[in-house]
Amino acid sequence: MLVEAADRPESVLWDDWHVVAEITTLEQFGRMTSTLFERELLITREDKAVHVAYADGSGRIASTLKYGYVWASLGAGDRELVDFPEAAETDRHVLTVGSLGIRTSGLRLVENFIDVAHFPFVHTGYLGAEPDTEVQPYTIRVSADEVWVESGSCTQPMASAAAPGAAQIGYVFRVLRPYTVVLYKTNTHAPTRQDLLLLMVQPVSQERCIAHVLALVLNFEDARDIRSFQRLITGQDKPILENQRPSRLPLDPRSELPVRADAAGTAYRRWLVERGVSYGAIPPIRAVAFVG
Amino acid sequence: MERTNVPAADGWVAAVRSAELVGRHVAIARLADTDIALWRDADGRVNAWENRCPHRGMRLSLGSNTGTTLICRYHGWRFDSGTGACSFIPAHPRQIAPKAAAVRTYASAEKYGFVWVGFAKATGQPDIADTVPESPLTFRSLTFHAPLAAVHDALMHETGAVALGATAIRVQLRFYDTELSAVYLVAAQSAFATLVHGFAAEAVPESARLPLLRAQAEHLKTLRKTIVAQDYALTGRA
Ligand code: FES
Ligand SMILES: [Fe+2]
Repeated sequence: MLVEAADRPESVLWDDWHVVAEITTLEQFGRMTSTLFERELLITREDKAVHVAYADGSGRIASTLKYGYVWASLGAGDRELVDFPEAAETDRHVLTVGSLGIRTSGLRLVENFIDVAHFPFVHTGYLGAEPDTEVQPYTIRVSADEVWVESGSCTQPMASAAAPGAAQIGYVFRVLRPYTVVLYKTNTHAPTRQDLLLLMVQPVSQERCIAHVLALVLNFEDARDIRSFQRLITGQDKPILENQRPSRLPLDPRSELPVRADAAGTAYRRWLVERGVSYGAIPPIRAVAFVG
Repeated sequence: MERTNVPAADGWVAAVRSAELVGRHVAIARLADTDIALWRDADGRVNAWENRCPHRGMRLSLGSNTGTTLICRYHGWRFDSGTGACSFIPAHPRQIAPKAAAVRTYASAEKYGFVWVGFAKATGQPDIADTVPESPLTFRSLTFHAPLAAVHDALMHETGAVALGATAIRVQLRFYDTELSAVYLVAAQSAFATLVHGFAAEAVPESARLPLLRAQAEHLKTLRKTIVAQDYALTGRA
Protein backbone atom coordinates (compact mmCIF):
# COMPACT_ATOMS: atom_id res chain seq x y z
CA MET A 1 0.00 0.00 0.00
CA LEU A 2 1.32 3.37 -0.97
CA VAL A 3 1.30 5.71 1.97
CA GLU A 4 -0.18 8.96 0.79
CA ALA A 5 0.72 12.09 2.66
CA ALA A 6 -2.96 13.00 2.79
CA ASP A 7 -3.76 9.79 4.67
CA ARG A 8 -1.38 10.56 7.41
CA PRO A 9 -2.34 11.80 10.80
CA GLU A 10 -0.78 15.09 11.79
CA SER A 11 2.96 15.01 12.36
CA VAL A 12 2.65 15.42 16.14
CA LEU A 13 1.32 11.85 16.05
CA TRP A 14 2.96 10.46 12.93
CA ASP A 15 6.50 11.36 13.95
CA ASP A 16 6.06 10.15 17.53
CA TRP A 17 6.63 6.67 18.97
CA HIS A 18 3.71 4.36 19.64
CA VAL A 19 3.45 0.99 21.35
CA VAL A 20 2.68 -1.73 18.80
CA ALA A 21 3.21 -4.91 20.86
CA GLU A 22 4.14 -6.39 24.19
CA ILE A 23 7.53 -8.07 24.00
CA THR A 24 6.25 -11.14 25.87
CA THR A 25 3.57 -11.68 23.22
CA LEU A 26 6.14 -11.35 20.46
CA GLU A 27 8.43 -13.83 22.23
CA GLN A 28 5.62 -16.31 22.43
CA PHE A 29 4.93 -16.27 18.70
CA GLY A 30 8.20 -15.06 17.16
CA ARG A 31 6.26 -12.91 14.70
CA MET A 32 3.02 -11.03 14.84
CA THR A 33 1.03 -8.39 13.05
CA SER A 34 -0.15 -5.13 14.48
CA THR A 35 -2.00 -2.11 13.11
CA LEU A 36 -1.00 1.49 13.67
CA PHE A 37 -2.83 4.41 12.01
CA GLU A 38 -4.58 1.86 9.73
CA ARG A 39 -1.23 0.51 8.47
CA GLU A 40 -0.63 -3.21 8.79
CA LEU A 41 2.71 -3.94 10.38
CA LEU A 42 4.69 -7.14 10.69
CA ILE A 43 6.80 -7.51 13.79
CA THR A 44 9.47 -10.19 13.85
CA ARG A 45 12.12 -11.28 16.27
CA GLU A 46 15.39 -12.79 15.10
CA ASP A 47 17.91 -13.68 17.77
CA LYS A 48 17.67 -10.72 20.06
CA ALA A 49 16.69 -8.13 17.46
CA VAL A 50 13.16 -6.95 16.82
CA HIS A 51 12.16 -5.72 13.38
CA VAL A 52 9.03 -3.83 12.42
CA ALA A 53 8.05 -3.47 8.76
CA TYR A 54 4.99 -2.75 6.67
CA ALA A 55 3.16 -6.06 6.24
CA ASP A 56 2.94 -5.55 2.47
CA GLY A 57 6.73 -5.47 2.22
CA SER A 58 6.92 -1.76 1.42
CA GLY A 59 9.62 -1.04 3.94
CA ARG A 60 11.16 -1.10 7.37
CA ILE A 61 9.92 1.04 10.20
CA ALA A 62 11.89 2.56 13.04
CA SER A 63 11.41 0.55 16.21
CA THR A 64 12.78 0.28 19.70
CA LEU A 65 12.13 -1.57 22.95
CA LYS A 66 11.28 -0.09 26.32
CA TYR A 67 9.35 -1.09 29.45
CA GLY A 68 8.41 -4.44 27.97
CA TYR A 69 6.95 -3.01 24.77
CA VAL A 70 7.87 -2.74 21.12
CA TRP A 71 7.55 0.89 20.03
CA ALA A 72 7.41 2.02 16.43
CA SER A 73 7.38 5.31 14.59
CA LEU A 74 6.01 5.51 11.07
CA GLY A 75 7.45 8.99 10.65
CA ALA A 76 10.63 10.68 11.82
CA GLY A 77 10.66 9.11 15.28
CA ASP A 78 12.43 12.24 16.44
CA ARG A 79 10.72 12.60 19.81
CA GLU A 80 12.12 11.16 23.00
CA LEU A 81 10.35 8.08 24.30
CA VAL A 82 8.43 8.69 27.49
CA ASP A 83 10.63 8.10 30.51
CA PHE A 84 9.99 7.55 34.20
CA PRO A 85 12.81 7.66 36.73
CA GLU A 86 10.60 5.62 39.10
CA ALA A 87 11.09 2.59 36.84
CA ALA A 88 14.64 2.32 38.17
CA GLU A 89 13.58 2.06 41.83
CA THR A 90 14.40 -1.41 43.09
CA ASP A 91 11.27 -1.85 45.22
CA ARG A 92 8.96 -1.37 42.24
CA HIS A 93 7.38 -3.70 39.75
CA VAL A 94 7.63 -2.67 36.13
CA LEU A 95 4.69 -4.61 34.86
CA THR A 96 2.89 -4.76 31.57
CA VAL A 97 -0.60 -5.47 32.83
CA GLY A 98 -2.25 -6.18 29.53
CA SER A 99 -3.32 -4.91 26.15
CA LEU A 100 -7.02 -4.61 25.48
CA GLY A 101 -8.62 -3.79 22.13
CA ILE A 102 -11.40 -1.22 22.40
CA ARG A 103 -13.70 -0.16 19.59
CA THR A 104 -13.51 3.58 20.02
CA SER A 105 -11.14 6.47 19.50
CA GLY A 106 -8.05 6.37 21.70
CA LEU A 107 -8.76 9.99 22.60
CA ARG A 108 -12.05 8.91 24.23
CA LEU A 109 -10.00 6.41 26.21
CA VAL A 110 -7.52 9.03 27.46
CA GLU A 111 -10.38 11.30 28.46
CA ASN A 112 -11.97 8.43 30.39
CA PHE A 113 -8.65 7.78 32.17
CA ILE A 114 -8.45 11.34 33.55
CA ASP A 115 -12.11 11.40 34.59
CA VAL A 116 -12.81 10.62 38.26
CA ALA A 117 -16.56 11.34 38.08
CA HIS A 118 -17.30 7.92 36.59
CA PHE A 119 -15.59 5.92 39.36
CA PRO A 120 -18.68 5.38 41.58
CA PHE A 121 -20.74 4.21 38.60
CA VAL A 122 -18.35 2.23 36.43
CA HIS A 123 -15.83 1.01 39.03
CA THR A 124 -18.36 0.56 41.82
CA GLY A 125 -16.84 -0.87 44.97
CA TYR A 126 -13.28 -0.44 43.71
CA LEU A 127 -12.50 3.13 42.79
CA GLY A 128 -15.70 4.67 44.08
CA ALA A 129 -19.20 4.05 45.37
CA GLU A 130 -22.41 5.95 45.94
CA PRO A 131 -23.20 8.17 47.78
CA ASP A 132 -19.61 9.53 47.64
CA THR A 133 -20.02 10.90 44.15
CA GLU A 134 -19.12 14.54 44.60
CA VAL A 135 -16.06 15.68 42.68
CA GLN A 136 -14.03 18.19 44.67
CA PRO A 137 -12.54 21.10 42.78
CA TYR A 138 -9.12 20.31 41.36
CA THR A 139 -6.37 22.18 39.63
CA ILE A 140 -5.21 21.97 36.07
CA ARG A 141 -2.00 23.26 34.67
CA VAL A 142 -0.50 23.04 31.25
CA SER A 143 3.26 23.05 31.48
CA ALA A 144 6.13 21.78 29.39
CA ASP A 145 3.61 20.83 26.75
CA GLU A 146 1.76 18.53 29.12
CA VAL A 147 -1.57 18.68 30.90
CA TRP A 148 -1.38 18.11 34.67
CA VAL A 149 -4.51 17.45 36.67
CA GLU A 150 -4.03 17.54 40.42
CA SER A 151 -7.07 16.37 42.25
CA GLY A 152 -7.57 16.50 45.95
CA SER A 153 -8.02 13.13 47.53
CA CYS A 154 -11.05 10.97 47.05
CA THR A 155 -12.36 8.08 49.10
CA GLN A 156 -11.86 4.75 47.39
CA PRO A 157 -13.36 1.49 48.66
CA MET A 158 -10.57 -0.62 47.17
CA ALA A 159 -7.95 1.45 45.41
CA SER A 160 -5.69 -1.44 44.43
CA ALA A 161 -5.42 -5.20 44.51
CA ALA A 162 -4.01 -5.25 48.05
CA ALA A 163 -5.60 -2.15 49.53
CA PRO A 164 -6.32 -2.86 53.20
CA GLY A 165 -9.74 -1.21 52.89
CA ALA A 166 -11.25 2.13 52.00
CA ALA A 167 -8.67 4.89 51.80
CA GLN A 168 -8.22 8.53 50.91
CA ILE A 169 -6.38 8.47 47.62
CA GLY A 170 -4.56 11.38 46.04
CA TYR A 171 -4.55 11.54 42.28
CA VAL A 172 -2.37 13.32 39.78
CA PHE A 173 -2.94 12.79 36.09
CA ARG A 174 -0.34 13.81 33.58
CA VAL A 175 -1.15 13.79 29.88
CA LEU A 176 2.22 13.48 28.15
CA ARG A 177 1.11 12.98 24.56
CA PRO A 178 -2.29 12.97 22.85
CA TYR A 179 -2.43 9.18 23.26
CA THR A 180 -0.32 8.77 26.41
CA VAL A 181 -1.23 9.54 30.01
CA VAL A 182 0.10 8.58 33.42
CA LEU A 183 -1.59 8.47 36.79
CA TYR A 184 0.33 9.08 40.02
CA LYS A 185 -1.68 7.55 42.81
CA THR A 186 -1.04 7.31 46.57
CA ASN A 187 0.18 3.86 47.57
CA THR A 188 -2.13 2.60 50.31
CA HIS A 189 0.79 0.94 52.19
CA ALA A 190 3.24 3.81 51.85
CA PRO A 191 1.15 6.99 51.86
CA THR A 192 4.17 9.18 51.10
CA ARG A 193 4.91 7.36 47.86
CA GLN A 194 3.02 6.92 44.64
CA ASP A 195 2.21 4.15 42.26
CA LEU A 196 2.31 4.99 38.56
CA LEU A 197 -0.12 3.68 36.01
CA LEU A 198 0.80 4.48 32.48
CA LEU A 199 -1.75 4.22 29.69
CA MET A 200 -0.32 4.11 26.20
CA VAL A 201 -2.97 3.96 23.55
CA GLN A 202 -2.17 2.40 20.20
CA PRO A 203 -4.34 4.13 17.59
CA VAL A 204 -5.35 1.27 15.29
CA SER A 205 -7.70 3.57 13.40
CA GLN A 206 -9.65 6.69 14.27
CA GLU A 207 -12.30 4.54 15.92
CA ARG A 208 -10.31 1.57 17.18
CA CYS A 209 -7.50 1.38 19.65
CA ILE A 210 -5.55 -0.86 21.95
CA ALA A 211 -5.08 0.10 25.58
CA HIS A 212 -1.61 -0.85 26.83
CA VAL A 213 -1.27 -0.38 30.57
CA LEU A 214 2.06 -0.36 32.37
CA ALA A 215 2.16 -0.43 36.16
CA LEU A 216 5.13 1.00 38.05
CA VAL A 217 3.84 -0.13 41.41
CA LEU A 218 5.61 -0.59 44.76
CA ASN A 219 6.11 -4.29 45.36
CA PHE A 220 3.83 -4.68 48.36
CA GLU A 221 1.58 -6.53 46.04
CA ASP A 222 1.93 -9.64 44.01
CA ALA A 223 2.44 -9.07 40.29
CA ARG A 224 -0.45 -11.37 39.48
CA ASP A 225 -2.83 -9.44 41.72
CA ILE A 226 -1.82 -6.12 40.21
CA ARG A 227 -2.43 -7.50 36.74
CA SER A 228 -5.82 -8.95 37.47
CA PHE A 229 -6.93 -5.82 39.32
CA GLN A 230 -5.93 -3.49 36.49
CA ARG A 231 -7.42 -5.80 33.88
CA LEU A 232 -10.68 -5.76 35.80
CA ILE A 233 -10.69 -1.94 35.86
CA THR A 234 -9.94 -1.60 32.13
CA GLY A 235 -12.51 -4.29 31.41
CA GLN A 236 -15.14 -2.23 33.23
CA ASP A 237 -14.38 0.79 31.06
CA LYS A 238 -14.49 -1.09 27.75
CA PRO A 239 -18.29 -1.50 27.42
CA ILE A 240 -18.77 2.14 28.41
CA LEU A 241 -16.26 3.40 25.86
CA GLU A 242 -17.69 1.25 23.09
CA ASN A 243 -21.15 2.71 23.67
CA GLN A 244 -20.25 6.38 23.47
CA ARG A 245 -21.49 8.17 20.38
CA PRO A 246 -19.87 9.47 18.37
CA SER A 247 -16.80 7.26 18.75
CA ARG A 248 -14.47 10.06 17.83
CA LEU A 249 -13.85 12.70 20.45
CA PRO A 250 -15.83 15.83 19.55
CA LEU A 251 -13.58 18.84 20.01
CA ASP A 252 -16.18 21.50 19.42
CA PRO A 253 -16.98 22.94 22.85
CA ARG A 254 -20.70 22.89 22.06
CA SER A 255 -21.02 19.29 20.96
CA GLU A 256 -21.20 17.77 24.43
CA LEU A 257 -22.03 19.17 27.83
CA PRO A 258 -19.20 19.31 30.36
CA VAL A 259 -19.72 20.44 33.94
CA ARG A 260 -17.08 21.62 36.40
CA ALA A 261 -16.11 18.04 37.27
CA ASP A 262 -15.11 17.61 33.62
CA ALA A 263 -12.53 20.39 33.72
CA ALA A 264 -9.77 17.84 33.08
CA GLY A 265 -11.47 16.53 29.96
CA THR A 266 -12.22 20.04 28.80
CA ALA A 267 -8.57 21.06 29.24
CA TYR A 268 -7.45 17.94 27.40
CA ARG A 269 -9.76 18.68 24.47
CA ARG A 270 -8.57 22.27 24.29
CA TRP A 271 -4.94 21.12 24.42
CA LEU A 272 -5.65 18.75 21.50
CA VAL A 273 -7.18 21.62 19.50
CA GLU A 274 -4.20 23.85 20.22
CA ARG A 275 -1.83 21.15 19.02
CA GLY A 276 -3.87 20.52 15.90
CA VAL A 277 -4.65 16.91 16.77
CA SER A 278 -7.53 15.63 14.69
CA TYR A 279 -6.82 11.90 14.30
CA GLY A 280 -9.49 10.20 16.41
CA ALA A 281 -11.35 13.47 16.87
CA ILE A 282 -14.12 15.49 15.29
CA PRO A 283 -12.45 18.87 14.82
CA PRO A 284 -14.22 22.02 16.00
CA ILE A 285 -16.64 23.49 13.50
CA ARG A 286 -14.57 26.63 13.21
CA ALA A 287 -11.34 27.82 14.76
CA VAL A 288 -11.77 28.66 18.40
CA ALA A 289 -9.69 31.40 19.94
CA PHE A 290 -8.18 30.69 23.32
CA VAL A 291 -7.20 33.37 25.72
CA GLY A 292 -4.27 33.01 28.13
CA MET B 1 -20.96 2.91 3.95
CA GLU B 2 -23.35 4.35 1.43
CA ARG B 3 -25.54 6.98 3.01
CA THR B 4 -27.65 8.16 0.13
CA ASN B 5 -31.42 7.81 -0.04
CA VAL B 6 -31.95 7.74 3.70
CA PRO B 7 -35.69 8.21 3.94
CA ALA B 8 -36.41 11.35 5.90
CA ALA B 9 -38.17 10.39 9.08
CA ASP B 10 -41.63 11.73 8.88
CA GLY B 11 -44.73 11.36 11.00
CA TRP B 12 -45.41 8.37 13.24
CA VAL B 13 -43.14 5.35 12.92
CA ALA B 14 -43.77 2.02 14.65
CA ALA B 15 -40.73 1.17 16.79
CA VAL B 16 -41.32 -1.88 18.98
CA ARG B 17 -44.21 -3.96 20.25
CA SER B 18 -45.80 -2.48 23.36
CA ALA B 19 -45.31 -5.83 25.06
CA GLU B 20 -41.55 -5.39 24.82
CA LEU B 21 -41.59 -2.38 27.13
CA VAL B 22 -42.23 -4.30 30.31
CA GLY B 23 -41.06 -3.48 33.81
CA ARG B 24 -37.86 -1.49 33.99
CA HIS B 25 -36.59 -2.56 30.60
CA VAL B 26 -34.97 0.03 28.33
CA ALA B 27 -35.45 -0.97 24.71
CA ILE B 28 -33.57 0.30 21.70
CA ALA B 29 -34.90 1.01 18.23
CA ARG B 30 -33.04 2.18 15.19
CA LEU B 31 -35.27 4.29 12.96
CA ALA B 32 -34.22 6.58 10.14
CA ASP B 33 -30.53 6.29 11.05
CA THR B 34 -31.30 7.39 14.58
CA ASP B 35 -30.85 5.32 17.72
CA ILE B 36 -33.79 5.69 20.04
CA ALA B 37 -34.01 4.53 23.65
CA LEU B 38 -37.51 3.54 24.76
CA TRP B 39 -38.63 3.10 28.33
CA ARG B 40 -41.86 3.01 30.28
CA ASP B 41 -42.15 4.89 33.57
CA ALA B 42 -43.99 3.71 36.67
CA ASP B 43 -47.19 5.40 35.47
CA GLY B 44 -47.06 3.50 32.19
CA ARG B 45 -46.00 6.47 30.12
CA VAL B 46 -43.56 5.68 27.31
CA ASN B 47 -40.45 7.79 26.72
CA ALA B 48 -38.79 7.86 23.29
CA TRP B 49 -35.39 9.53 23.62
CA GLU B 50 -32.38 10.01 21.46
CA ASN B 51 -30.13 7.18 22.62
CA ARG B 52 -27.34 9.51 23.57
CA CYS B 53 -26.53 11.16 26.85
CA PRO B 54 -26.00 14.90 26.40
CA HIS B 55 -23.06 14.75 28.81
CA ARG B 56 -20.54 12.47 27.10
CA GLY B 57 -22.55 10.65 24.45
CA MET B 58 -23.17 7.40 26.36
CA ARG B 59 -25.98 5.23 24.98
CA LEU B 60 -28.88 5.76 27.36
CA SER B 61 -30.25 2.31 26.53
CA LEU B 62 -27.56 0.94 28.86
CA GLY B 63 -28.84 3.09 31.71
CA SER B 64 -31.28 2.12 34.40
CA ASN B 65 -34.95 2.90 34.59
CA THR B 66 -36.01 3.84 38.12
CA GLY B 67 -39.67 4.29 37.17
CA THR B 68 -39.41 8.09 37.27
CA THR B 69 -35.97 8.75 35.82
CA LEU B 70 -33.45 7.15 33.54
CA ILE B 71 -29.94 7.03 35.04
CA CYS B 72 -27.02 7.17 32.64
CA ARG B 73 -24.57 4.37 33.22
CA TYR B 74 -21.43 6.45 32.76
CA HIS B 75 -21.65 9.23 35.37
CA GLY B 76 -25.07 8.64 36.86
CA TRP B 77 -26.83 11.73 35.54
CA ARG B 78 -30.60 11.40 36.03
CA PHE B 79 -33.10 12.39 33.38
CA ASP B 80 -36.78 12.86 34.13
CA SER B 81 -39.55 10.92 32.49
CA GLY B 82 -41.59 13.12 30.17
CA THR B 83 -39.30 16.13 29.79
CA GLY B 84 -35.89 14.46 29.46
CA ALA B 85 -34.47 17.23 31.66
CA CYS B 86 -31.52 16.42 33.89
CA SER B 87 -32.55 16.53 37.54
CA PHE B 88 -29.37 15.31 39.23
CA ILE B 89 -25.65 15.35 38.52
CA PRO B 90 -23.90 13.15 41.11
CA ALA B 91 -20.54 14.92 40.68
CA HIS B 92 -22.23 18.10 41.92
CA PRO B 93 -25.01 16.85 44.18
CA ARG B 94 -25.82 20.24 45.68
CA GLN B 95 -26.14 22.12 42.43
CA ILE B 96 -29.01 22.48 40.05
CA ALA B 97 -28.27 20.88 36.70
CA PRO B 98 -27.92 23.34 33.81
CA LYS B 99 -30.96 23.74 31.57
CA ALA B 100 -28.99 22.59 28.55
CA ALA B 101 -28.48 19.21 30.22
CA ALA B 102 -31.51 17.60 28.62
CA VAL B 103 -31.97 14.57 26.45
CA ARG B 104 -33.49 15.05 23.03
CA THR B 105 -37.00 13.66 23.24
CA TYR B 106 -39.44 12.42 20.61
CA ALA B 107 -43.21 12.22 20.81
CA SER B 108 -44.46 8.72 21.50
CA ALA B 109 -47.76 6.91 21.31
CA GLU B 110 -49.12 3.40 21.73
CA LYS B 111 -51.53 2.02 19.20
CA TYR B 112 -52.31 -1.33 17.54
CA GLY B 113 -50.06 -3.05 20.05
CA PHE B 114 -46.99 -0.98 19.09
CA VAL B 115 -44.99 1.89 20.48
CA TRP B 116 -44.75 4.63 17.86
CA VAL B 117 -42.16 7.37 17.66
CA GLY B 118 -43.19 10.76 16.34
CA PHE B 119 -40.73 12.32 13.92
CA ALA B 120 -41.21 15.62 12.09
CA LYS B 121 -44.83 16.53 11.45
CA ALA B 122 -46.25 13.80 13.69
CA THR B 123 -49.60 15.06 14.90
CA GLY B 124 -52.53 13.52 16.74
CA GLN B 125 -52.23 9.75 17.01
CA PRO B 126 -50.84 7.11 14.66
CA ASP B 127 -53.65 6.07 12.37
CA ILE B 128 -53.62 3.53 9.57
CA ALA B 129 -57.14 4.45 8.41
CA ASP B 130 -58.60 1.01 8.84
CA THR B 131 -60.72 -0.72 11.41
CA VAL B 132 -58.60 -3.12 13.39
CA PRO B 133 -58.70 -4.33 16.97
CA GLU B 134 -57.13 -1.91 19.47
CA SER B 135 -54.89 -4.58 21.09
CA PRO B 136 -54.33 -7.10 18.34
CA LEU B 137 -52.10 -10.16 18.25
CA THR B 138 -48.70 -8.81 17.17
CA PHE B 139 -46.13 -10.74 15.16
CA ARG B 140 -42.41 -10.82 15.70
CA SER B 141 -40.77 -7.82 14.03
CA LEU B 142 -38.08 -8.55 11.47
CA THR B 143 -35.39 -6.40 9.86
CA PHE B 144 -35.01 -6.72 6.08
CA HIS B 145 -31.71 -5.59 4.65
CA ALA B 146 -33.38 -3.81 1.77
CA PRO B 147 -34.71 -0.30 1.12
CA LEU B 148 -38.19 0.52 2.36
CA ALA B 149 -39.56 0.93 -1.17
CA ALA B 150 -38.42 -2.59 -2.12
CA VAL B 151 -39.98 -4.10 0.99
CA HIS B 152 -43.21 -2.16 0.45
CA ASP B 153 -43.34 -3.36 -3.17
CA ALA B 154 -42.85 -6.98 -2.15
CA LEU B 155 -45.53 -6.79 0.52
CA MET B 156 -47.91 -5.34 -2.08
CA HIS B 157 -47.52 -8.64 -3.96
CA GLU B 158 -48.86 -10.61 -1.01
CA THR B 159 -52.32 -12.11 -1.27
CA GLY B 160 -55.06 -9.50 -1.11
CA ALA B 161 -52.65 -6.64 -0.44
CA VAL B 162 -54.13 -3.17 0.00
CA ALA B 163 -51.96 -0.17 0.79
CA LEU B 164 -53.07 1.80 3.84
CA GLY B 165 -50.98 4.89 3.27
CA ALA B 166 -47.25 4.71 2.59
CA THR B 167 -46.17 2.53 5.50
CA ALA B 168 -49.01 0.08 6.20
CA ILE B 169 -50.37 -2.76 4.08
CA ARG B 170 -53.33 -4.98 4.75
CA VAL B 171 -52.91 -8.55 3.49
CA GLN B 172 -54.66 -11.91 3.69
CA LEU B 173 -52.60 -14.53 5.50
CA ARG B 174 -53.26 -18.18 4.71
CA PHE B 175 -52.09 -20.88 7.02
CA TYR B 176 -53.32 -24.45 7.18
CA ASP B 177 -56.98 -24.07 6.27
CA THR B 178 -57.56 -20.66 7.78
CA GLU B 179 -57.49 -17.25 6.21
CA LEU B 180 -56.90 -14.19 8.25
CA SER B 181 -56.60 -10.49 7.65
CA ALA B 182 -53.34 -8.94 8.86
CA VAL B 183 -51.54 -5.60 8.68
CA TYR B 184 -47.84 -5.03 8.02
CA LEU B 185 -46.13 -1.83 9.13
CA VAL B 186 -42.85 -0.88 7.51
CA ALA B 187 -40.29 1.46 9.06
CA ALA B 188 -37.01 2.58 7.49
CA GLN B 189 -34.04 1.97 9.74
CA SER B 190 -31.52 3.20 7.19
CA ALA B 191 -31.29 3.44 3.42
CA PHE B 192 -30.79 -0.34 3.26
CA ALA B 193 -32.62 -1.67 6.27
CA THR B 194 -36.35 -1.83 6.84
CA LEU B 195 -38.16 -3.02 9.90
CA VAL B 196 -41.31 -5.03 9.22
CA HIS B 197 -43.90 -5.23 11.98
CA GLY B 198 -47.20 -7.00 11.72
CA PHE B 199 -50.38 -7.80 13.56
CA ALA B 200 -53.59 -9.75 13.07
CA ALA B 201 -56.34 -7.39 11.99
CA GLU B 202 -59.04 -9.57 13.48
CA ALA B 203 -59.52 -11.56 16.64
CA VAL B 204 -57.53 -14.81 16.74
CA PRO B 205 -58.81 -17.65 18.92
CA GLU B 206 -56.37 -18.63 21.68
CA SER B 207 -55.77 -22.11 20.22
CA ALA B 208 -54.81 -20.70 16.82
CA ARG B 209 -52.30 -18.13 18.08
CA LEU B 210 -49.17 -20.23 18.35
CA PRO B 211 -49.56 -21.99 14.97
CA LEU B 212 -50.35 -18.64 13.35
CA LEU B 213 -47.31 -16.94 14.83
CA ARG B 214 -45.08 -19.82 13.71
CA ALA B 215 -46.47 -19.94 10.17
CA GLN B 216 -46.32 -16.17 9.82
CA ALA B 217 -42.71 -16.00 11.05
CA GLU B 218 -41.68 -18.69 8.53
CA HIS B 219 -43.49 -16.91 5.75
CA LEU B 220 -41.90 -13.55 6.55
CA LYS B 221 -38.43 -15.08 6.67
CA THR B 222 -38.94 -16.65 3.25
CA LEU B 223 -40.16 -13.33 1.88
CA ARG B 224 -37.12 -11.64 3.38
CA LYS B 225 -34.77 -14.02 1.56
CA THR B 226 -36.45 -13.26 -1.76
CA ILE B 227 -36.34 -9.51 -1.31
CA VAL B 228 -32.78 -9.43 -0.10
CA ALA B 229 -31.70 -11.59 -3.06
CA GLN B 230 -33.53 -9.29 -5.50
CA ASP B 231 -32.12 -6.17 -3.92
CA TYR B 232 -28.58 -7.46 -4.21
CA ALA B 233 -29.16 -8.44 -7.84
CA LEU B 234 -30.50 -4.95 -8.48
CA THR B 235 -27.73 -2.94 -6.87
CA GLY B 236 -24.93 -5.38 -7.57
CA ARG B 237 -23.86 -5.38 -3.96
CA ALA B 238 -22.26 -8.58 -2.75
S1 FES C 1 -22.25 10.32 29.70
FE1 FES C 1 -24.16 10.19 30.65
S2 FES C 1 -23.76 10.90 32.62
FE2 FES C 1 -21.87 11.17 31.63
FE1 LIG D 1 -12.50 4.03 34.23
